[in-house]
Amino acid sequence: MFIKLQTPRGTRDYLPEEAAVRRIVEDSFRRTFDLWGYQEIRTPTFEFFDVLATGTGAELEDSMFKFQDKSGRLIALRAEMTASTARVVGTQLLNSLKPIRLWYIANMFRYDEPQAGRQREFWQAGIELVGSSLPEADAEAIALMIQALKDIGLKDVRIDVGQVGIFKELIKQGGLEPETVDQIRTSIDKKDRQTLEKALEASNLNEDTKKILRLLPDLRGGTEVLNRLSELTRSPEIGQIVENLKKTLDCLKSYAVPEGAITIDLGIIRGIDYYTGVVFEAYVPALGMALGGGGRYDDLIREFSSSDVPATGFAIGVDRCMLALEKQAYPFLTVTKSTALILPVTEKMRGEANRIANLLRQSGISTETDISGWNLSRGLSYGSRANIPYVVVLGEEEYGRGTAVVRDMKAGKQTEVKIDDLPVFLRGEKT
Amino acid sequence: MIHDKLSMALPNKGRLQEPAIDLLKKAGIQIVRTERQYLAETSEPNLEIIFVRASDIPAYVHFGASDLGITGYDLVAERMVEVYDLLDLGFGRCELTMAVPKRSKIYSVQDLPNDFRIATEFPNLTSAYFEKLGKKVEIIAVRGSTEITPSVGLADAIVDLTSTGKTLKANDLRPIGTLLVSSARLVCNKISLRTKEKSISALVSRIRSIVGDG
Repeated sequence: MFIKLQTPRGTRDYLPEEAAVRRIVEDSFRRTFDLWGYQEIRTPTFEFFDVLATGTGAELEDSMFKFQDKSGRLIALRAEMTASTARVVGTQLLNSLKPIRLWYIANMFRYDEPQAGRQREFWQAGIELVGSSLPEADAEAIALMIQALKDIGLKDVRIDVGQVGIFKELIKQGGLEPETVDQIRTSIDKKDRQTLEKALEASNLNEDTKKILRLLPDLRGGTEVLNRLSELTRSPEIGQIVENLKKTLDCLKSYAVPEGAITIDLGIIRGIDYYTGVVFEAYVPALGMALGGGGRYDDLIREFSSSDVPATGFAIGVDRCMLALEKQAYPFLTVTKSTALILPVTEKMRGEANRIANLLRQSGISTETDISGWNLSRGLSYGSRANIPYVVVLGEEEYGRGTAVVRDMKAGKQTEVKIDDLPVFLRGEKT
Repeated sequence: MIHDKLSMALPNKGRLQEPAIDLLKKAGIQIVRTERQYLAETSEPNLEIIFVRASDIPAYVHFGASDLGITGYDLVAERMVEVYDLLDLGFGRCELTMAVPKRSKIYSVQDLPNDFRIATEFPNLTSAYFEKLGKKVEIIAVRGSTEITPSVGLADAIVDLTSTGKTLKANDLRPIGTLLVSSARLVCNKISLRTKEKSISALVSRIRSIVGDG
């Protein structure tokens, strides 16, 4: 019996009050993405595991919810959207006009250990920008991420920008075992210098490369860190990567991104394998977890199409945004249930109540009618407890005169209003 | 100098607590207990200590309820949290060991039959380990006294922390594999290190100078 009272670990319900606030945040994301010329995409909640696991790496693969369909094929719930979007682009949009700008807001599923700020079902709002390999595209993605987070009301949004190409280029020179690469990557990502040192010692990388890898966790700051890197290597490939990153940062200046909002962090080597270039993470000082991240993935779409299609994108954790807004004490408006309650005083007026309710709804005023057979005092008591600003009392006598009594629940004031004037009256009084 | 307000989580009991407090003392940081048991001030005006269970410290640091924490690597890995692992502090060394009863015919992890029952306080690490090996095992999560579970028939084997091997011997158990080598770590919240970089670096280098780079 006990199991009937609970939801599975890592899932939860969002009751109306909380759902309404989340709706405000999601609507804001939609509006911002629309304003930047992005279009919505929806993909299946579950897909073939092999599709969803394309390019994501072992860690994310392990955390996917997997099951078999009746013919024994391995299915998984989506754990992020980029693999699905890459499949759509690679199979259906290859010949479409580029660039393609897509957005989504959707629930994702990961079989992680649930904790504060991490559920097994969670929501992401994100974009994919497909068809340009230029730094301008990376800059647009970063600028849009900052804008989207600002638009939901977050203050002091910051972005750390890295470039996984540098790491991939350095590691390529060694011909290392995948486990060693993984160890080096993980220890840089965790800033675990001791494990990094051991892994480097055991590798056959040349001393110059080791020197740079050793430094990566510390290369964080302004453009001076790029100069520091350039001094350490003569590799033309890394020189090119650094030039591109500089262009991205230059380009960002024209987006009116606040001074100090962007920091270079070459120690960011994001966990997902498909990243190939500029990567970035967003956060606010008030919350101890990143709000989201993204980056360039120029090789992923080829996995579905055998054509090279460059792309970049990001995903924002909606749940973490909610936590951050809470921490920054964002003043969400109190959500009202309805603007008006129509209360028929007699049985006869019941049908009229519905007609008037429809009139108000057509004028954009959210309205409910009494369906519980309440008398005046119980109806008013419900209106007050449900936080409904206006109760329209429909008495036969007033109705005969073509009017109804509107009770302003906050002011405790009653006004007799012509029924035809109700929409104007309720809208006009509403603040 | 520590300019920003920092909080550090330390174990409120157990084998890691004393060496952790000792280490801070050597780094010139005295802990001044306050009336509230779980909270302490330090000789550094901007550094506050909170005492919580060692196994909860990864969660505190992951969420940012504390900027820093000292706890075992095994506990960080078991909680599967993303935190910076800034320093191996050298103490609290132990291994996460798989052990079977002495009379068992199993001598290596490879020999395990499917649906073997394993009792452990580390269900996440244990299941991840066997998933990698491609073995299907039944994991029984317990909260202590893991070593007695085979003798009472609850489990066929255990996965537990060992440092000397004495406990295993005393319970007629024989080690057959190591899942993880652990020691105490200084862990840090990923956002704190970015927003309070200078203060944290200053503190870390003081501690590093005590433990060395070893």
